[in-house]
Amino acid sequence: MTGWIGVDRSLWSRLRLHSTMPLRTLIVDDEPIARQVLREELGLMNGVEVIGEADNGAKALDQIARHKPDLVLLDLQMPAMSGFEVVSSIRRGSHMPVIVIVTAYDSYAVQAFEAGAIDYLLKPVGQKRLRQAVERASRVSGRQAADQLAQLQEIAAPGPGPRPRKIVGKVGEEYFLLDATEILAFQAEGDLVWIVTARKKYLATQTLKIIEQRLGRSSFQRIHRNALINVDHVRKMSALSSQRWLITLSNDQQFVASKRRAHGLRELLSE
Amino acid sequence: MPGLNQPLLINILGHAAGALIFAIFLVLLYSGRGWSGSRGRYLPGLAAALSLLWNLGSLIVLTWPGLPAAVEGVLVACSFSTLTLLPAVLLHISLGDRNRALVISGYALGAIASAMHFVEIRGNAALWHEAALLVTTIGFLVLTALAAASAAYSRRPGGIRIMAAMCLALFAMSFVHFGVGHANQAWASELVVHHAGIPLALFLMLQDYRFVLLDAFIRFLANALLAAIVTLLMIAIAFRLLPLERIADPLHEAALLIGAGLVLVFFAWLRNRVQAWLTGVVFRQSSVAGLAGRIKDCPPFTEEDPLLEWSASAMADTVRTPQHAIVAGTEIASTENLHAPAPANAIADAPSLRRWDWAEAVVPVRLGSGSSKLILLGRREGGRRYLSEDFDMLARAAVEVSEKVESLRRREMERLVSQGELRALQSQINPHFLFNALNAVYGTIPREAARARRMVLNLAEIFRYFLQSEKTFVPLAQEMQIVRAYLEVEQSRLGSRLKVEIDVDAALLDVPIPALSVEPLVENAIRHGIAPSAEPGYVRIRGEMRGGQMRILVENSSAGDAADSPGAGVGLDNLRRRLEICYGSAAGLRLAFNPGTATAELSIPATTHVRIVS
Repeated sequence: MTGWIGVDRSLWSRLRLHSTMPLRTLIVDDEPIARQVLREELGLMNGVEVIGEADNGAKALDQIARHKPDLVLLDLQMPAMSGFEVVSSIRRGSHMPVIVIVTAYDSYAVQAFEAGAIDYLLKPVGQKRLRQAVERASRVSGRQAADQLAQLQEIAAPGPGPRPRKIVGKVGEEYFLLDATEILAFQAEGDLVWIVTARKKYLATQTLKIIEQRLGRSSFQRIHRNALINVDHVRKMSALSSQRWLITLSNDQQFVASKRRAHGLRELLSE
Repeated sequence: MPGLNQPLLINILGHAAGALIFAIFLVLLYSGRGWSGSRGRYLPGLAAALSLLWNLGSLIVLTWPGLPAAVEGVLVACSFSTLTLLPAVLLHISLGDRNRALVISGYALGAIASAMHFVEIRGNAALWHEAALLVTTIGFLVLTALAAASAAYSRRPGGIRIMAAMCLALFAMSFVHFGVGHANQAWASELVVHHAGIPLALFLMLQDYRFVLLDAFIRFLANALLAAIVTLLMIAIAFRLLPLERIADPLHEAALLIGAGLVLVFFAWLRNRVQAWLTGVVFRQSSVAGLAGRIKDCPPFTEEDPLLEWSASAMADTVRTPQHAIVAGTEIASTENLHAPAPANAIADAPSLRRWDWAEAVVPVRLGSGSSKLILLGRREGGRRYLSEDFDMLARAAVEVSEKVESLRRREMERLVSQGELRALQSQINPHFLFNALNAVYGTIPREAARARRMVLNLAEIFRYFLQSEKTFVPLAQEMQIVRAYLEVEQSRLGSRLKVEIDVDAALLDVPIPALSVEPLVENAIRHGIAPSAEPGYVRIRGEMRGGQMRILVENSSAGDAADSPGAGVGLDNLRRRLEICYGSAAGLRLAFNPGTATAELSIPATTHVRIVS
């Protein structure tokens, strides 16, 4: 786990304490067959206990309040009350379970993570992928973690106050919530945008332009049409010519910045 | 107005102006974009440097009367030496590579005269000085006459150069007037001619040359001249109206300040008028500013070529040339590094330009993905030159054209991608319905029927990939995952008739490729190679890196002979066009049919391994 969600390491070690208790899980979906698929699979996994099911948002909230589950598998498209509405209602309540979104079509991943979900599954969910999500959830579950998560959501929540500093990255089918400070650079190739961290490369789910806007005034600086770099990770800048600068990041990756863009970078560096 | 008629003042002003003019000239000349091509910059540079030194030397001597005699002597000698070498350089410029004998004699003459100037330091001043000036004047008169005569004799088209030679003569003759003059003495005011001669000579020669910042230079000179005239007028009027002794009077002081302010406003207004006049009448650019705007508001085109043709004729129309052409960037060598419009003679070395020998300007239009087109523009009406402002305007227009092309291509890409057979589903099926339905199927299949469940998962994955509309590029890994899912589905359909081998270099998995560029090849292989045949067959996919190019080979067994293998399905035409848009000529798709096998080879430049983004 390369620091997804940005919770510090001491937290992980504390979470291990909970690993012996079964993960008490609530399934929320309006389609009986969808609930059946999840129930079947979860029933065969160790360390998971399905404590209930709900076929709409109101019932889900009621069950969460009553049973205080560790994990909620939540469908987004439900009549009367959508999954997102359920999440925002839970937040106001006292108990904060770990949320994993299960949805039919991939168009809300970023919103889901922003709302505080820790994973995002697409239907039909294969056995392997579901197991991954449950393992991830069991690492995060527990009261302390939930508190931390709630705090993280406040930070990640859009609106007034600090700008969102969380970015969603993908490796294969898996989503990761990355902390802006661990990101070295965003690099676009065509309309693919890579998120470069010290150890790994992720695929971004948004365009460079949108990412730049989301990050707002931060340590990120556009140095090229194709590159947005984190000034905190710049190790060296050297002039290539009067028009261009060679910028070396802490992972030795090099970028060439145009003079116009580099100017802003230098200002940021000298601040 | 006191003092203005003094020869000393005139000379100080003249030398100061001269020094400024030549300094600016030098800066423009060596600023990197003033001169098209690197050849032929040294002689004009040398001439300007000599003129600058001469003006500076004289300026120091004139404004610093307290100089020690020895220093003054050396300064004067240096200053005059540069002056006597100058005609030799000018002669060299106007003769070019021809008549080496005359050029060498010119330099020899200059050297002799310079030597005489230095001898002059040792006393006997007037005699040596006069002799040196005489040698310079008469010698260069003779050389100029010879040069003009030889040009006339060999009927070379060089009217402007002959005129330059005449100016040179004028300049040389002006020495006669001050045969007795000396730098530290005040000369007569008619010697202004002498100061005017040199810039004039330079100008006339440069008209013919490749000084593309000529317009900027003229604008600067016009501004400087205007400032000088306005300042002089202001001083003259102030002295006429306000006697010096009454200037302490607050009323007069206020009047003076207000007057100065008004004069500045008047100057600003006048300068704009003069610049507008230069733009409209001298440079004849009245319709020029709107070119980029015109291209921006061009009629909507759905294809690239008509857009380019329209833009090229708009450019030709604006610069008033009857000729234009659009050429692929690869057709003319040595233009890969051409990023801004340039005179054609800057790249005239390329023999490939000969087919378009009428071209005078080359405007590169970048079409993204490294490929470019060149718009060639012909000779302008009335023999006008392409100046730096014209090139600036063409550059702006070219950027506009590239943007238009880019948005056109983006739209075309989207269209092509959504045309891909299965993506047509997108418009007809609600994805939520589709995936919920697949989920229901999945749930209805008993857990024990693992293969059936796996097939549903694969189908869902394939449909999801087809339906994602926002991405035109994906990492190869993602495409390969879909290819595997697709082949698994086909394998459960065809059973033992299909054997699959996949061998893709792990280092390639991050390389971005256009979405659905391998899958159609595999689908083709199944549809035309395996499905129609009763015999068992195979599909083999290999991915490797070769010299910066990523090669994906999709090979399949084929029962029929090459003739009845479909050359390229509609899907492959679609893929070909997308490759062209994304990579220009750098990517390719080749099909090869051998007895028993058919191979499709996809070749894409792999950029992800280039760590430097440039």
